Amino acid sequence: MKSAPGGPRAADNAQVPPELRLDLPSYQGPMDLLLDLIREHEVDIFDIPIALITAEYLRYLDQLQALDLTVGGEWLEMAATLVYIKSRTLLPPDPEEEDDELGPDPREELVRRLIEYQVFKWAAEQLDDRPQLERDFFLAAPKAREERKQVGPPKLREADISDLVDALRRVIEKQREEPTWAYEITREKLTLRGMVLEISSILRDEPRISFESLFSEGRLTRHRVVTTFLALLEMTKLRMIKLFQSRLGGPDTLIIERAVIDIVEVSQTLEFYDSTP
Amino acid sequence: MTEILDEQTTRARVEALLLAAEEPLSLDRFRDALPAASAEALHKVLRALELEYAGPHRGIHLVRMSGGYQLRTNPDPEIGQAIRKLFETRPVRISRAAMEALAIIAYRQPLTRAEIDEIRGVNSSGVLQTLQEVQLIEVVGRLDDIGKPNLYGTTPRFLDFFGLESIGELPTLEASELQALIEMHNQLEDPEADVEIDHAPDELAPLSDDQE
Repeated sequence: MKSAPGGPRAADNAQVPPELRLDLPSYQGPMDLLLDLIREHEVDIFDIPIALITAEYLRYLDQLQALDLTVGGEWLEMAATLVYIKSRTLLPPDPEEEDDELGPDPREELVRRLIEYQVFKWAAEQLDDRPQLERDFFLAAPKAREERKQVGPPKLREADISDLVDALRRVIEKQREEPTWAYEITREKLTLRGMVLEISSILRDEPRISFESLFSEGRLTRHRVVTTFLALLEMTKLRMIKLFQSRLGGPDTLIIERAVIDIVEVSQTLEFYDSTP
Repeated sequence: MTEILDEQTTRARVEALLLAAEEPLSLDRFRDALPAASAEALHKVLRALELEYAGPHRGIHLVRMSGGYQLRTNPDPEIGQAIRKLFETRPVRISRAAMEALAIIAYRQPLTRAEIDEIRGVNSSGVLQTLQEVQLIEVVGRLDDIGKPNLYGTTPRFLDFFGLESIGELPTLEASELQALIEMHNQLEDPEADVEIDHAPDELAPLSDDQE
């Protein structure tokens, strides 16, 4: 029951037969409606008869208004776009005019958006078809735990800045004997951004790493330690990572845990102003 | 304690751990709990169990999730229905609008609300709110732009929710694109084309759940 009824166009509410109300399909938005119109009229997506589709689209809006339904701004915006495209197709192409906005065929941008939307609509259905937790499958979830976790401090607690400073101190202590610590012979070019990317790419493969593992042999220069420290602060602030202090009785370790799945992609979108104070 | 467990014993213990655990167990967790079992033995046992706990004739399946191995019920809808009857619960329903936004985020993350709105052609703030409440998406950062808009990404729970091991397990978008074009081209011979249209609407939220 998807066909748009050809009922009264702007009748008042009293005249709208009840079956029409049931027949009016609801759409997720203007794009959804357009896709449906294109399917219904069996038109070629790459050659949309803009006049026909625009007329049908406006008719649907009329019906919404006839039913006293509020028509959101996005519906009107799309209507305006359609009418604009239609008007442009009626004009002969102006060889003088370089219109970047709509290119040679004013429908192009609309088609691109429709295809993109259709792709995600389909992807959403694929996702919905997957078995879902608590809808299709359930996990063994003990409602009451007789066996509580061992009493005592938790194995991990969220680290704070002093833990980070301690970890830094431990690394430096360990490296006092390193000759490179005192004399930096080759000065690496390190930026905060580069360091964030570097840490991110390690975390992409290993969701948890120790702070010490960032300073493997021969990679320990004063410059690198400071940059790493700043990068970790920045990433914590942006909630890309979480820092934990291990309490396993052994030597203190600071654990860095990934807090976002696509950490590398996230870090690539960041911008830093590398200022050396 | 330097005994080496034989396969049968290891198997029994692994099985018990799986049942007792609340969360997916990684290989490391098994090794911590069973220091006497060799890594190879654990591997072998888990693989065997995976094969055994599978298929339509088993009510319990062993699956690999993002965090490791976990027991879960067979995803057969009839079985799900029986469980819901037992709990007297109704299934979580994600509206079509929310599903669209979720799919966009899953494939394009991290991205801003404006980018999601651009693709959907409607305002998505309501559905994003809903998706955040059910912990399927989260704010993963801020875009360094005017107003520092939030960047959204999927959560680890998203993977568990859909039984995925990683985001990479989702079908590629190229495949969807092809499918989308086929559908838009109205190949009437194509039986797939109708599936998409005749979604039982009563199963889905009839209107987008953007609250006023």
